[in-house]
Amino acid sequence: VYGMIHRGVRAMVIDQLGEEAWQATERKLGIGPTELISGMTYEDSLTIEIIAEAAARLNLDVEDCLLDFGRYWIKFADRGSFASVMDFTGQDLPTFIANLDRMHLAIATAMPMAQVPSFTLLSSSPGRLVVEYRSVRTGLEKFVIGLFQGLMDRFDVSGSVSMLDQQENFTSFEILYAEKD
Amino acid sequence: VTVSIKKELLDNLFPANFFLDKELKITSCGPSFVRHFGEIAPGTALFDRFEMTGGNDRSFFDLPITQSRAIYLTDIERAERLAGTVVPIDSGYFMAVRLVPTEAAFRDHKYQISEFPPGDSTVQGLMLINLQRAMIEESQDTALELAFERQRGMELLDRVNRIAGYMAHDFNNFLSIIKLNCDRLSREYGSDERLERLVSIIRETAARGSSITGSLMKLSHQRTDTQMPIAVDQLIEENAAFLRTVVGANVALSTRLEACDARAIISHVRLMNCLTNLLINARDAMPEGGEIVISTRIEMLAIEPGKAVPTVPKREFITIEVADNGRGMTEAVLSRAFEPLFSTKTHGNGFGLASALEYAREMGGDARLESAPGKGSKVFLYLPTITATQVERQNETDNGAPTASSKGRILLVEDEPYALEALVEMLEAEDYHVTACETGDEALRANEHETFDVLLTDIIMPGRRGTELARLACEHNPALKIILMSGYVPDPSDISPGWMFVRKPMDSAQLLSMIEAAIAQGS
Repeated sequence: VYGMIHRGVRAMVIDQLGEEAWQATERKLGIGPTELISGMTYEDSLTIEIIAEAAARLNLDVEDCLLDFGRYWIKFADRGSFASVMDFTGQDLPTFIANLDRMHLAIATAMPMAQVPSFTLLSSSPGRLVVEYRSVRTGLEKFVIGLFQGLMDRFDVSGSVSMLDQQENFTSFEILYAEKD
Repeated sequence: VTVSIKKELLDNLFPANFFLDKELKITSCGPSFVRHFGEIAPGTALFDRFEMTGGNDRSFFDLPITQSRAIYLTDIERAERLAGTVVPIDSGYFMAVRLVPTEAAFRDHKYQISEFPPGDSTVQGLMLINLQRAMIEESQDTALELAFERQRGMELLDRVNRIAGYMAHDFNNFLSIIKLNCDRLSREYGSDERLERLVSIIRETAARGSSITGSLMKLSHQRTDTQMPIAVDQLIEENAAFLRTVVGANVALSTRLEACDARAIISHVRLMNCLTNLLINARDAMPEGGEIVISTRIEMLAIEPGKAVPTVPKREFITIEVADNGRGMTEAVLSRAFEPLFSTKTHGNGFGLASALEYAREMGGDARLESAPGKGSKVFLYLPTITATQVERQNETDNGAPTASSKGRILLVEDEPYALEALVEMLEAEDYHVTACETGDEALRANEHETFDVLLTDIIMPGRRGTELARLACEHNPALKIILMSGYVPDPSDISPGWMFVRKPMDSAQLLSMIEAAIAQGS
């Protein structure tokens, strides 16, 4: 994965536990700024190691940490250098999700090592979306649920995300949402 | 159903579409059109809201039903631009347009991907530009983090170095006490073979410890040399083989040493570094080979660094001349040759001559260069001899006169009581009159009441440092000779020309010979 993911994990740990906790994570894993270069690609195993260590420090199991991180990632991307890309992708929940593949296509062109997932909006009706998710990576469903929750936060709607179906090649999610009172 | 599918398709393909009737009035709009231009009341005339590039010309729309035409529009209210095609239909015209993004509109987050038709290169272009900007910002952040990390690493290293330096200093002090007391034992009970053997074991172990402190000092980037009277000719002779290896096989190195036994108070290591640098410069000036001559002599010179016309009287100097018969220097190069970082060599760092000049001046002397194109170069190093540093001794008062039986008066300052005790005993055993003090202030008071030949002082002490004490003591008694001792090697700028320095743990014989030289200098 690209180093920006590692930067996201670092930001989450620092936000929630403080700078010291991240420094301890770096010491334990033997990593430093050279593992946090946005435009560099790193082995997935290193990313998993970082997330697992973050989970331990946050007192979460890895799955829950992935969910939290997915949610946090949207906030992280939105407040950083990628905010304009996020805005361009969509300014409401259905549009954003419908445009995810086009955003990822552009990212994959700019960052050729990126293995981007695919999101297809199967159905869109007021308050309900059905999205199909495909990726060469496995085991990231919780992260995806976190991403959708993060998007709901971004567009100021409340609701729930659930897995409708999980096959070998894809997973479909149902997003139920409503404007916040 | 058919109409809705068609509309959905049209909205997907041309999100900014709209319809006109035959009177060029807007009848309905696509989703992106509404988002950007707001709900436009049906019946609004096209030219009331938009301007056509090239002029609002109704005849532009006189098209056969099978033809289409490119059109460019600008929104009068918001200055947004549209580009697209006019397609005549039965009821009027279908305007398949697309947004022409502006930087300002993008910055204001007005657009989203789905407002552009699939395959529209605008999306790719905008995304790439924004991703690139984002990546540059991220790279800057990362570069700052790496720079900060590097700085933090250097600070940490610096801290480790300083700790290593402190440890070396303290450890050297203890080793010094051990060595001095070994010498005491030898003096007292040297005839007892068994005891002498034990003493030699302790002394040898202390020497091993000393090599460890030497490593610690190197780790903390401290110099480990001693500053003492050195016979320059002897030093050059002893190191002639090494100096020959510096110049290589292509260059002949010869010496003409005429300074005889004249000694200067200098650092052995630094003089060797200086000579090595000068020889490397000379060798590099003769890539085809040549000859270098190192010569020494005694000269009476008036030297005042930085002044063309010195105002000081002539003194005795050892002149070391390094002459080559290489290509020489132009006047322009010669005028800058002593500048730090100035070099005419491809891989030169410009420190050789600059450091030679710095060294000579720190030792109370100077350096000079003579050169001309095709006539080789000569570097002159001037180092004051021991007698040159002699200052007119003040009239000795009765209480300052050496006693008939003593070889000289020594003001000894050492804050370590065991070291002080051992030094006093050693010096008194050598017939010196010793006044021992544990602090600088105590020593200054003693210096006011008595005239001493030599101030032998530790450097790092609580309160006044040895270097400060030496300066103040010399102000009161300019003839006073200074020997500094420490487990920590001071910065050269802390040592005035003519002062000696001995690193702890000290060798008793070496210290005694330095004291002897200092007393001889003043007599």
